[in-house]
Amino acid sequence: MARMANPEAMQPSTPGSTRTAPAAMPDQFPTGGRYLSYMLFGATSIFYLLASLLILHMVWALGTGAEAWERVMASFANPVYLAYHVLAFVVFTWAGWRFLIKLSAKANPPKIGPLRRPPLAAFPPMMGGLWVGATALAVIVLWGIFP
Amino acid sequence: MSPTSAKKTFVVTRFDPDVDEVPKTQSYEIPVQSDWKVLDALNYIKDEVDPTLSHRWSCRMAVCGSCGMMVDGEPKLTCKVALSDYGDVVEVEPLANFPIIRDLVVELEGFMERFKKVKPWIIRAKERAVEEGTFRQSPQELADFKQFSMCINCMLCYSACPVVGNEPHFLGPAAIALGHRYNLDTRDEGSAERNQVFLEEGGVFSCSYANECSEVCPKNVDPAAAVQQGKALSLVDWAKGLVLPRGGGE
Repeated sequence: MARMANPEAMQPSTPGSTRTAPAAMPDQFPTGGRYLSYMLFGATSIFYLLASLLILHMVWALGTGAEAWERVMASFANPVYLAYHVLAFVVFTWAGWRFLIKLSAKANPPKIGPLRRPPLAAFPPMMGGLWVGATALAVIVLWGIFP
Repeated sequence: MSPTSAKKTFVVTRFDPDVDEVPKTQSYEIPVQSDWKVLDALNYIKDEVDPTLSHRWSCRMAVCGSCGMMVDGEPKLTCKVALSDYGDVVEVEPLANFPIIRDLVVELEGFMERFKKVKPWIIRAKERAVEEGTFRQSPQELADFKQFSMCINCMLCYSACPVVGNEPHFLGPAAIALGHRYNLDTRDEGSAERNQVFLEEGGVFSCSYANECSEVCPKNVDPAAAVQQGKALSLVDWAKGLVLPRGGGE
């Protein structure tokens, strides 16, 4: 066992009469086996942070005036921005697949009040449809086709 | 059992609280049979090679949940996993995320405390008289919680969960799954009490949805689903408490 766990992990509130060895984390944690995708999923939050800052920057530019907005738009041709956007696209697609398609269905209780959950098998196409629909809407708005 | 000539080496964690400061490992090369489970090998070591080795086991049919250990780094019920699935060297350790009492035996009292906290029994505001008859429950209502009843408290989910090892107050997957099982039971009236516990520090919102608990469960229970559903239902309960008199309850 490699890494030690928190010394208090799974300790009883009153220590027993026998001295115990401290708990260890699983061998594969944090980057081995399935833990890797969990850690990478957590790391995608960096991209959410960057995307949020970028949106704030754009909103600020929009409020400043047409010239500032054009400057921001022109800056997107910068190779660094292009590389970021390609990477962000891959990251958001993977994070979306992991959460929306793979994990979100079973997170819904069988019933909330009188409302019963749709069959679990219906969730992946439903969430996938919503995701594609929202992306398509964003694209046609940003492209200027709609409204 | 009469072992064949095939041999495997078992690298087993040893810890004697009276002597050792920290756990160490000891290797045993033993003859094994092709149909053995990992537990059979441990029992062979205990019976034929080294009687000082301590490990827990009981039913040998994946029902009692006693023989959970880390086998080659993964939490497994040793009576359920075939030895033939492993190589010539098999590493056996006590369950991760638990304090070690001796060798492969871990301290479970911390779990028992968490288990009691979620009140895994049916709570009724007023007990029903026998003359009033049995509770009626539809197959659909039973299906809503049945899988969460299949938990055998083997602790593999605690051992796989990265939050359990880092967040000492976390109730953990099995305890939350059992609490949630009773919250979904139509005969129960104690969900407000349990949701209160779920919303406290170390409750459902400590979970970061690694989903490892569900991956390793030997009984195909889905504790990760229970925890996420617990988040939704405890939030609904909390919101009802804000807007409705007496939380919308009777």
